[in-house]
Amino acid sequence: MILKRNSPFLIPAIVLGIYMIYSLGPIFWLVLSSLKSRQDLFTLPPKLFFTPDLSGYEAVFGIGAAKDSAAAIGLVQSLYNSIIVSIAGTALATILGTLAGYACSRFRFVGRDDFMFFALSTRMIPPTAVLVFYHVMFAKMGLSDTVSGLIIVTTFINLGLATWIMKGFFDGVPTAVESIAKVNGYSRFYAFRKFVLPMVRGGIAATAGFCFIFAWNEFAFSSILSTTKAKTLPVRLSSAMGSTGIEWTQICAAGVVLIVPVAIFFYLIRRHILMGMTFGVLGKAGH
Amino acid sequence: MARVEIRDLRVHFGDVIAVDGVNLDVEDGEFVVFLGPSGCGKTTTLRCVAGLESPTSGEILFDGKTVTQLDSMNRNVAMVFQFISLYPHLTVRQNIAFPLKARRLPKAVIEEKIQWVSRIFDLAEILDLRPGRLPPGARQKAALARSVVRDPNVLLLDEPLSAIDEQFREEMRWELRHLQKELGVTSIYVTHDQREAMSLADRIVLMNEGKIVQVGAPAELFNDPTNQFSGFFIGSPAMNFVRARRKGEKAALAEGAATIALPDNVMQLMGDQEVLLGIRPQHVATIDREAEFGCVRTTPSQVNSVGREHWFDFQLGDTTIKGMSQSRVAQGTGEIIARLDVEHLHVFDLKGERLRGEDRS
Ligand SMILES: Nc1ncnc2c1ncn2[C@@H]1O[C@H](COP(=O)(O)OP(=O)(O)OP(=O)(O)O)[C@@H](O)[C@H]1O
Ligand SMILES: [Mg+2]
Repeated sequence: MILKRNSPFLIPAIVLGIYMIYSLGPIFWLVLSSLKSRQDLFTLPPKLFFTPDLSGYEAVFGIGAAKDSAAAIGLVQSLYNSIIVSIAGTALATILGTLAGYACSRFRFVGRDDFMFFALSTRMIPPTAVLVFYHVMFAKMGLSDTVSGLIIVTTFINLGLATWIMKGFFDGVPTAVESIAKVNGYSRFYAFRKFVLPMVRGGIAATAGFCFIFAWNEFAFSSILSTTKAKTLPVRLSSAMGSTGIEWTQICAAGVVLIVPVAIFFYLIRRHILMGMTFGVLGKAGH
Repeated sequence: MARVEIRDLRVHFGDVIAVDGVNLDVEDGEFVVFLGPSGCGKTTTLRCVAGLESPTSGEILFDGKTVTQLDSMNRNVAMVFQFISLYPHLTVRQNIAFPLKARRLPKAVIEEKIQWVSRIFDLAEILDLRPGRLPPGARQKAALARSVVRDPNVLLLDEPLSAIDEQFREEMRWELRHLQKELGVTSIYVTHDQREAMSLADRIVLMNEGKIVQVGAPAELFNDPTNQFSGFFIGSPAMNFVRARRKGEKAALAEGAATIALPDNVMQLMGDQEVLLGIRPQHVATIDREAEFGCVRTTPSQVNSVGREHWFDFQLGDTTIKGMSQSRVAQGTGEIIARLDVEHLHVFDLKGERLRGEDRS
């Protein structure tokens, strides 16, 4: 649709345009910068056309010329950490959240509603408020600066949300599905595995997508619980910025690498995002 | 097939008392219908028998053996649910085979049983279709087929016909009744439709607010209600109720809106207290000359003929009484004589409990 000059939507359209520049501008700048060489990066006015320089990406992925440089090794290690922590944390949170969500949807137990509230509240707590406690606890358990430690934290961070979303999807599956199986001589577990789980496939995918994005972006806990070896990519990036001799190209390339999976997952679960915002009624609206 | 006993069953959901002390014996092969208004605990009781709900207290016994602790999958009960009973992604054939596969019966036996039940229920043409494409009637037929294909201890039906068109429902009811007798399977059927209950049941279990109000054959409930609720809930149109109090030799109806002569046994039951008289519209007629008992001179406020049934209403004070006459009642022709058949007059106290004479109990 082309907006006429005197359309009542003209001003909102302009505002939206500005908002898009505001939100997409930095990403555009980031992508451009990640492809520039050191010299091109700091020319004024900024160059829009230049010969792409892939050295930043080579450093992040640890390939090509940057393979052996110390900075590159740090980046590769942190990318690797991020991938492991996010995938393992997402898998654990999704599996446990699916089971817990099913229990909360189907079983009446003492304190169920309190549990549901508690589960969600774990996501609302400002991480900085409890960081010190985690720091001490992890140090005592020998989990400081380990990937397994970060996996545990990531799982717990996402478990509450995963439980909530999955409960919503299970609420959307009629209890008759299990009742029918039971009166026909099958166990509840059989019905869960054979009938209920396939019905909430989409929900599981959406939950995993949410969890992955949160795990991938997680900064507060990782920054305090990983000091050297276990640093994730966001942590590594932020610490690089404080030091001298900043490799801007590498940082920008790492930034792009951080954004891409989020963009992909967000696109994949976009159907569920709006529904996800109204926790609990998710499943009913879903199918 | 089994005898089913329900012993002092109670089910609480938090503060809600869904079932409040139900005791019942269902004989082997009997067709029992749970009847009652919405929310009276019919489904919950049924689900307890199925093992899908665990009672707060009480026992369920099959053939004298307690199954209260037994999981539903081990009770060998069949159940047809109100809306969905079949898995939509399985064909009718796979749905029917579902309970047989649970018992790991050999393929040949399963196939034989499917053929048998498909002949009874006339399913041959839909065996390989998915339920989603079938009309509700055919779907419930298939669900019934699945439920009887494996000799269940008891067949439980929770308003299985409520999703089916009125005209087809009549036919299904008849078929169900016929089949139940032929197969001799102990059956418990839940409905809130009293006509359905009357046409299906060997015995009706009338429930209200988690309790059993009355148990008996349909005719028994119709002719001999134990309280006002039972009188009101069974029969259509509903039973008329009017307040009455002794006034000399006669009785004053509806705070003196009319007086009526009643036989001695009724007058005795009434005593000196105010009571409720209950009488079905079928037992209120018009007559030409006043008889000894039960006559009221009145003018009809409404008339309505349905085929050979000539219904009429008249007012006694605030109370509307409905009657049914053999001959057309013309509206606006002035006074008629309405006669209450005192043989079928029931006396209730103001709390709704039936008052009975010593001799007839
Ligand atoms: N799972 C449950 N949790 C809480 N309350 C329940 C549950 N199941 C039933 N109830 C309540 O118990 C009471 C009896 O319900 P039930 O379903 O047995 O009634 P019903 O006689 O089958 O009614 P209907 O004709 O509407 O099906 C109702 O007040 C209902 O709200
Ligand atoms: Mg019900």
